[in-house]
Amino acid sequence: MIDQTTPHKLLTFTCHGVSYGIDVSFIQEVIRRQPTTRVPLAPPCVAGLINLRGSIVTTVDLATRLQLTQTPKPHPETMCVILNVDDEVVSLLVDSVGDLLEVPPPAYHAQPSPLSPNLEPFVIGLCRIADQNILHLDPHALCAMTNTEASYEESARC
Amino acid sequence: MSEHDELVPGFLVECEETLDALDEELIALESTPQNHELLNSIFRRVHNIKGMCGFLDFTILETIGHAGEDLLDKLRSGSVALDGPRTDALLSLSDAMRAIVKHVREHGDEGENKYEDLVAALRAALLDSTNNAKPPSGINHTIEPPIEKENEAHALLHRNALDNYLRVDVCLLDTLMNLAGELVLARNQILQITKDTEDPTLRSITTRLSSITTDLQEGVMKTRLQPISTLWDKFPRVVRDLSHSTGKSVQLTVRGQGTELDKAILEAIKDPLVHLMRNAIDHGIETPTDRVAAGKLETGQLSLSASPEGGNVIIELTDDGQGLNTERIREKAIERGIVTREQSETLSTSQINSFIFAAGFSTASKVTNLSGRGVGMDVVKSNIESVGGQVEIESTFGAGTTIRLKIPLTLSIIPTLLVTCGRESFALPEVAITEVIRLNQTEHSAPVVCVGDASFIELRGALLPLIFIDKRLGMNDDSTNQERMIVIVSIDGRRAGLVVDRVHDIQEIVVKPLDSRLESLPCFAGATILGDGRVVLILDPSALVRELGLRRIESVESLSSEATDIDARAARDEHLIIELAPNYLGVLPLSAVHRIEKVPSDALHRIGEVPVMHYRDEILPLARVTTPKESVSGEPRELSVVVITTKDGAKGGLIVSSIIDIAQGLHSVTTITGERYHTQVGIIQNRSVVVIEPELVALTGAEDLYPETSPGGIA
Repeated sequence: MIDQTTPHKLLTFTCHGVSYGIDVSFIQEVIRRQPTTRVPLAPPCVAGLINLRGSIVTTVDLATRLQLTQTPKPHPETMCVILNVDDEVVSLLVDSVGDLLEVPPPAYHAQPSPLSPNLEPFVIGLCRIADQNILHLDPHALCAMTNTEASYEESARC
Repeated sequence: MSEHDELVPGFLVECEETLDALDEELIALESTPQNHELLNSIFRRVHNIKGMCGFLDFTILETIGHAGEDLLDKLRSGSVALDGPRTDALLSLSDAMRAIVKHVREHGDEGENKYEDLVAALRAALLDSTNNAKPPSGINHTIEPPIEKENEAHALLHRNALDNYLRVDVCLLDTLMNLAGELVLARNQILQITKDTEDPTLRSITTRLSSITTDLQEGVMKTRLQPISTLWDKFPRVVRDLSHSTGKSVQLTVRGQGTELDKAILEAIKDPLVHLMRNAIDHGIETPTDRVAAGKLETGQLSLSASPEGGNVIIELTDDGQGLNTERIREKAIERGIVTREQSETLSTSQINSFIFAAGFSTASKVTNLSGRGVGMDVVKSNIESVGGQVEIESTFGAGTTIRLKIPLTLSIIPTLLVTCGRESFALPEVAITEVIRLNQTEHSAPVVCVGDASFIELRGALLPLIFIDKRLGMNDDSTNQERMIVIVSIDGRRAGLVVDRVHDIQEIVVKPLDSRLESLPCFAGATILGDGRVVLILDPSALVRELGLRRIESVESLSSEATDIDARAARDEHLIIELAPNYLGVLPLSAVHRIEKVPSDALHRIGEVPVMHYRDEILPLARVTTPKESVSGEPRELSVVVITTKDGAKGGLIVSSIIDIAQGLHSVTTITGERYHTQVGIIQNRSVVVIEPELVALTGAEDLYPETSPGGIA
């Protein structure tokens, strides 16, 4: 799945002080945070719906998705990274967007371990560049939300 | 293949259309074998396909087409007569052609099957001429040439008419439809911005833009409308095949073929309709012998009709077969635990019949075999509902069944009422809304009655169940709004009031589906973008009302109409009005009330979960209604207990706060059946009350008669 010889091209961004990256091939665009419409009963990680030039796009809050609830939120300037995964457009809410990185193969570590259980399903690699660790995220895993039913049950009980 | 490859796709489409028409004409021909015009038309169709095949080098198709043509020619000349086997042979010709066309479309060639049997059958049909049926051939031959000429002229005219039509890819229409939708949104945005403008030029331009957009949108929508006959034309064939295979005689009558529906909707209702039709013939209509025995016509009557009604189309499928066996359905429903026996007795026939729509209800049951209808009725229902339609069933045991489908004309652009609840706005489809009233919680004129977790309000002598949207959607915005609004919706004869904070104006919106990950949320039918660019969710009133588990409203008069004994009726009519908890009234039939006792609270004991008390050397199980408010205030020292005797002599006690009155004239009794509760509510002395069933008190004797959340409590 992960090609070991060619460099990874990642768009980096931060969330709760940690750097993450996603393959640029999945990135459609980066926009400022938009007015968001809440979706009641949706899974907690769904921040809501935004109007992206006439089409309705679901926004996923990265911090909630990765269950980074303990750390306080330092960034007021949130950004939306618009992903296009298998022709489905999803917006990812992050704290700030960084550079476009070309990671040379030696700096890339596939399947790093150990990872905390909340990150395990989403992280597919680790990049070490100039003392900075960048967690490589799997956009498919981020966008797959099969637990809608379960969380609906939960919120209905509240 | 030949050098004419680019002609193939067009040929295939034409073939498919020709074959559909061919089927229809063959069936028609079977009943009117003397119809020369029809026969000529059939001949021409087969001839055309054959001709094109020679050109495009489809040899198998050409061979079978040729064999069919020969037979049709003989039929035309009158040297053989059309009978059952010949019709069968011609229909299998149509099937074979269709199969080849499909193969060409999918694989690019005609496939291995040479259809030699079919050719042999067609040739055999040629030879097997019955001499006595043969009309004098001379006459026919002299008549034929002018007919042929006339038909050619007719065909020419027909072709000229066809020149006005153009084949368009549906994808293109979809794109246009979406663009028209976007244009509507952009128009709304401009209207919003220029609303207060003083500039007369701008004002006139926006007005013009607005009307053009509306016309364009309607025009594009019309391009997607197709007459329902495009779907129904296949049905005579289905009916014929089914009646042959089941050995039944069925006549299909169709009305309203010209009724138009959106192509996507037609697609969606195709399978359910075929399924319903199969059910009607397979299970509904009896065998000829049974029919004669039942005093019916030997031929079963199946009628299909479509008619527009407002923004919907009503499709009705009626058969005069054996109808649904309500008793069996009731038994099965009880067996499967859908209702208890007690509950089932309060339900009407149509309520019980509707159980056949329950998922998996009939698949493994004997109901299917014995009384018909069933396999996959839940699928039919969900398919129809997925396009915003509704299904109703009406049946009289022994006399037949009518299934009524209510289908929206189009899917994408709908007028909606905008409402707000807390900080959120929602769009509510206007079709479902009957009226909007104020919920005045401060005045005592129409208090909200709570039963378990269900709320009601009295409206013009009837009880209206309420759904608090903020609560239902789990929104915790503190709403201190006392002046809330109730939007009354009516779904399938069931009414409910949706409580919202404010209502705004009506807007035409373009329905956009929710993200696939959010589709499973039950309350929303989609989302849309408003004129100001905001995204709002569209509430799905039918899902909300369905959740209430509300059945059709039946009045108590109709339920008790069988009672012949006037005294018994009068006695039954008298009710004891009791206060179960603060602001929570209930009634008990006076005939069931044995005594009213005052007991000290320490006389109560418990046996397991059930509170009991000693009463004249008997252990009396007790029931009560607890509300959250009461549990806080603590136990009073003395309790009023209404001792109840049921018809069967069982005794029980109901703990009440106080006794209010004895009165007659309980009316507007409504049954609510839900996952969490099953009860009846009604109105007496202009007060909303819960109708308490004495049997329930005596038999269950539970701590909490109408539990807030526990599903097992009462059902």
